[in-house]
Amino acid sequence: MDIFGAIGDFFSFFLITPLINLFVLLTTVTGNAGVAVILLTIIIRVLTLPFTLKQMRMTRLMAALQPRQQEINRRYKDPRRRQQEVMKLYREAGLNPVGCFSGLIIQMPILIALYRTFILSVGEAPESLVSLSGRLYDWEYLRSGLPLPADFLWLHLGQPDPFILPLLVAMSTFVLQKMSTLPAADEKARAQASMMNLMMPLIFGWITLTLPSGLGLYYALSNLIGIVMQYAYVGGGPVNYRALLGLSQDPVLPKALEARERQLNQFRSSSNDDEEDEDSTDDESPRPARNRSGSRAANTDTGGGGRRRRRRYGRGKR
Amino acid sequence: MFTALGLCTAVLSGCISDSTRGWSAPVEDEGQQYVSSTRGKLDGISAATNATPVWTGELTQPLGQQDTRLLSITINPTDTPFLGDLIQIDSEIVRVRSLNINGAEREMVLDRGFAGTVASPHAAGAKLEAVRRAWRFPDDWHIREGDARGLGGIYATPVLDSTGTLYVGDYDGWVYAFKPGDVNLDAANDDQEPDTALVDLGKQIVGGLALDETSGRLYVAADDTVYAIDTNRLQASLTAGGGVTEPEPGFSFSAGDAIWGAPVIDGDSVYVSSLDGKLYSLDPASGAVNWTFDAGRSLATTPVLDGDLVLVAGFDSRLYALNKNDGTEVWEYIATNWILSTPVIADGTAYFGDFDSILHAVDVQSGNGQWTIPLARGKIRAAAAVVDGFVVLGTDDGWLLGVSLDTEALAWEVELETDIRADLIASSNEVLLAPDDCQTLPGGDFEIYYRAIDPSTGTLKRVDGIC
Repeated sequence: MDIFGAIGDFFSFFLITPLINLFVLLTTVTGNAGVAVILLTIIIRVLTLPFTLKQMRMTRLMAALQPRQQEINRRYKDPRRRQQEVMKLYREAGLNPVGCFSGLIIQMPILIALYRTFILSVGEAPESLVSLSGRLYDWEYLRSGLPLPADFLWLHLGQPDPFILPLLVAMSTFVLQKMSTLPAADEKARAQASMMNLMMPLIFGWITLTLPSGLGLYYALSNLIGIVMQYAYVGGGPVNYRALLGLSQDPVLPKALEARERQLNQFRSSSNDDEEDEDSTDDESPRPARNRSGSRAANTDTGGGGRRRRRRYGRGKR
Repeated sequence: MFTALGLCTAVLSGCISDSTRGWSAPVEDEGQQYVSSTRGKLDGISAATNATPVWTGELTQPLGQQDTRLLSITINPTDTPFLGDLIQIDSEIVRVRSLNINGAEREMVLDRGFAGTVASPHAAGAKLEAVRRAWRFPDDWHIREGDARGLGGIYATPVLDSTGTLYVGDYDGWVYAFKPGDVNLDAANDDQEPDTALVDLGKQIVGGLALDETSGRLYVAADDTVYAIDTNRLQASLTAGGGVTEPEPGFSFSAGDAIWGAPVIDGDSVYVSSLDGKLYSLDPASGAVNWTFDAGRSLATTPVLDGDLVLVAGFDSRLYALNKNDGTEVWEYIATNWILSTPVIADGTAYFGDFDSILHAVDVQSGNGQWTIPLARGKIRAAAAVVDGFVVLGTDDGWLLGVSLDTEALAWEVELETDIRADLIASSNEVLLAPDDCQTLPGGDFEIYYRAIDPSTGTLKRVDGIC
């Protein structure tokens, strides 16, 4: 067996087949495939919660470190050195860049497996049902519910929806992205973020046009849960609807800024503690001066980190 | 990153889709065999290798054993060889791999050593007879009438009428009516396309078509609805050069769920099974319901008539026999898994396979099981064929199996490289089949399409060279 076949079998055995059986079971129990999709979405969201939380934490930390990263970019012209300093910064902050995408990475195989699940379970074509029978676990109750009812509201879950669902997917993706991102520090990053905030909903909306609406329903519900989680993660508070509509550069969730500051301060204080530890063992290094407030990180938006850190960058530049 | 994820989703979702093509049974009529595909192809195939050849010729030099060589042969100059033509030389079948036309002489490379024959030497002067697939719709011609664009997947077995008109229903909801005899593939003639009448029903045609030439009605099961279409309107359209015709059905009857079996006409009734679990007896003129039988679980096979009984089965693993006059249940036979294989009745016995790969033989009058044979192969969806004392079955994992009615035991089995889901058809001393795909045969390095086998041995009798 070639390597691709082995990967396919592994993927099929551990993800696609269990998902198919879970979906068939939920539909048989509830008698409604749409309700089964909702339950399936919640189950998957709960199972992937650690990845989602990690992604939210890392994304927030990445945003908090943005000013300091820009400072590094300004100071170092050598790309290699710049990269080293950025990675050092990440290391000090405990940031794993891959963690920013952990939720998305885990979503990919799930989306593919769900595609197969809906094509086989509620696909219109008869051969899908024949293939489905070979995927079911040896439990008569699972077979008893087939063929599954495929209709839910205005949707046939095995067929694409030409209008409403793609719109819902695009809108929910847009809102989730707007809520997840904080205003960028410079114009270039802001333009990139704006482009992403527009392109991603369009791409996902377009993809939904061609996929079984069961998958679109899952994605829209998943986004909805993501929006609620995002709101709860920053501690609630008011929603800036003008920013949501793109009429303002302020964050959609103002409390997200506070959360970012908190996270940045945590990082600063922990890194300062580290530096103090370093200072106590490094007799040749001058102790960093404190500012009036007693903090060494007052200048948050210019890279901060106190004189010692700036001096270190300065040495690097020379 | 986001874009890559999105595009990967789209690409992967396309890559892992199902690609079954054989679902509807082959149809044969006077030298032509029609094989349709769920991928939206309809082939008109010359019916037999020993039928009237499309061209003839003779070897101008000897052909040695095991040779695969460039041959120079002389053929009838009035006919043109095509790539993929199958040529019979003595008892051997070879295929045209490449052509070089040089006046009246054609040089061609021949593939040898397949189709179950042993490559053997042939003397100069040996006679050649060639057959080929006659046409493929929509590869050889396209129809762009109304919203019809190409041909959708075909799940319903096409039907032929006595005038040679072929009726085809596709998954896009279109019914096509044309005369295959009007197809003209002569390259010098632009008018390849036969006049075609089209009807748009707007619903996936899966279940099938049934033609009542006496009343001039074509019953089409599309999604959950049965339409009665006036074939005279289609014939009038054909006479006028074809085109889209409004369906204006004599009636349309909607069941509670999709219909996967073909409607069956029997005098005063049209019988329709549905995934809503019911078998309906309809008045063929008005579509009024004569009676309904509710099995409680989805019915999926085409109803089968025998005397006063109508047999139907489905997802509750039961074969039901009902009184065809009032729909009362006469008996039921319980298998162990789904029955999607339409029963075939021969000499008072119904033969069918189930999804546990078991062949059942049931007495039609009493409903008593006569015998069962566990075949230990894949799921059986295709209806069996009973010919010359053998029950021939095809399985979902590509096995062809022959059970002897004398010994009530498995007599032979042949493994194909492709699934068999389309009903097998009993023909004169052979079994017609429409496997899922082509396959490479031992001794050859190209693919052929199985079309007919010997029921007593499973050996190949007819092939199509073009895949």
